[in-house]
Amino acid sequence: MITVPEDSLSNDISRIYQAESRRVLATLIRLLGNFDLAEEAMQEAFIAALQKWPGEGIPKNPRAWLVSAGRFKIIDRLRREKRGRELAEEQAEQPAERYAFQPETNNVAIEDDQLRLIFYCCHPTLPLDSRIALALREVCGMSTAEIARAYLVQPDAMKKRISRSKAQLREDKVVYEIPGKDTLDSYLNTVLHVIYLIYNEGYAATGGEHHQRPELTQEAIFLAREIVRLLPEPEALGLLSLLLLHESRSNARVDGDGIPISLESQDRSLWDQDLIDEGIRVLHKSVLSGRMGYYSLQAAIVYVHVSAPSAEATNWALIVDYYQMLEKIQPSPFIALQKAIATGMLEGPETGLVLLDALADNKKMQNYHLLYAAKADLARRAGKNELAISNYKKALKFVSQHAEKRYIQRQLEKLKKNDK
Amino acid sequence: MQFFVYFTVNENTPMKPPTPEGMAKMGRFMKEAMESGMVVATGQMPRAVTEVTLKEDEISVSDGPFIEGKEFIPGFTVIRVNSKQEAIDWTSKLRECMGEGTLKMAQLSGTSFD
Repeated sequence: MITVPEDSLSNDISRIYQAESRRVLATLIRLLGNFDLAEEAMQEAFIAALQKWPGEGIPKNPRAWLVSAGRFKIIDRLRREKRGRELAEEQAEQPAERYAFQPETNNVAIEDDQLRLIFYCCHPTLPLDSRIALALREVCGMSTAEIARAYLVQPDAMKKRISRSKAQLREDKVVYEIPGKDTLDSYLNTVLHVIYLIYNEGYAATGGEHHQRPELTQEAIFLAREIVRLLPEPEALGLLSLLLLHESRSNARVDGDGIPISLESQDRSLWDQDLIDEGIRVLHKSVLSGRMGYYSLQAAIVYVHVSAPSAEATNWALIVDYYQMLEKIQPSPFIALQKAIATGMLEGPETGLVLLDALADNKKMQNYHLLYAAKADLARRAGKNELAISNYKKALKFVSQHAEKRYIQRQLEKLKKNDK
Repeated sequence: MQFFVYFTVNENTPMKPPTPEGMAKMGRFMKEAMESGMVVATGQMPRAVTEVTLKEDEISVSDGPFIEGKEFIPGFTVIRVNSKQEAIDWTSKLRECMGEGTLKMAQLSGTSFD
């Protein structure tokens, strides 16, 4: 046990909550065999921690302590409740060796629970949308409201979808396990997609106060490494590389006020060279396979960015090539947007603006703030300040994330100042 | 005939990854090779190996040791070609994508490699 001064304790507990709660939950789901009981147990465990740790100090292995405490609390409560008696007996009778759990030592088993949870949520028995929603809820702890917003559906509908998914996993008796190599293949795409979404949520949260949520980006990188360990397929390598290369810039991406800094204005000396080197090594393996896909191609694009000495000295032609390849394998208006921006950087802002105008015909894009932000940026480069200002204003209308909003406001203020 | 094309790294010559331009060339080159059907296998030898040993009628399995230095193969490709010259030409092109350095190639022999 380590003793800590009283005042920093609540900070520590909240830090531990951020870092450990999803892992504790993943293990509790295995031990209790039920999402809702596990969720309850996890909450109980943290309440117990708030009561005990101020007196006893933070245990050496808080995660294991929380798992034990949560499980004990639930079994204890179920025993006391009549209606839960049978369930409690079932829980208490679980053969000890099956759940052999040595609180102080068994971190490996607990880490595997994170993977079990992600595979459980991504099980093919569920419709694709439900898999992603459930994984975002359970693996990264996003609220149903946050997920509903990201998917443009009503929170109630999302809540129903998630509870239906949990019920279905129970009905279909899906086992809480890491699938064998044969079936892993059929899961892989969804699992990679979910990890990618978790990272994105941490990299640029869809809503709320903070632009970056490091606990989510760390989680996603951890999961991507684990998937690569299980199945070093080109796309798994591509995803890991992409996340590492993105992460290398995390110190340079926001300023002291938490406002995002655009790539070209970032202090490149703040980029983490170790992460860049690792990301490139992983990308290299994927490229050697001759089977670059959605993630490897994106990683290759980030590699072009991180190896350029400055924004001007970036090989934009290569980036446009990569976006073309991406469009071939997975066409989407968002890829088209990125390609238009890169083309604007290569051939001049006027060309970029023409391409962006063509994109604005797409209904999906009309409410997308980044389309207007991109137009504003190219207009500014072309010296068309009025066009830039009107587009930043449109972008402001559709942006939902606080820090991004402030970024756009700041750009707008700069332009107005220059105008005078 | 099949050739095992690979590179090694050690502490004295750490692997230098290709530039972004080289990486792009390599991606295209390897994709073409895959699509032409000449690539039999591609991958890497991981540093961690598992040893299976028979001693006094008993098999023992142990994880490790870590492969070090010259033995470590971060990437290899097995290609099917009609002549050694064809293998040399292909390997030269791959090396040009990767940048300066050495690739090694070895002809595989045995019934399944013809």
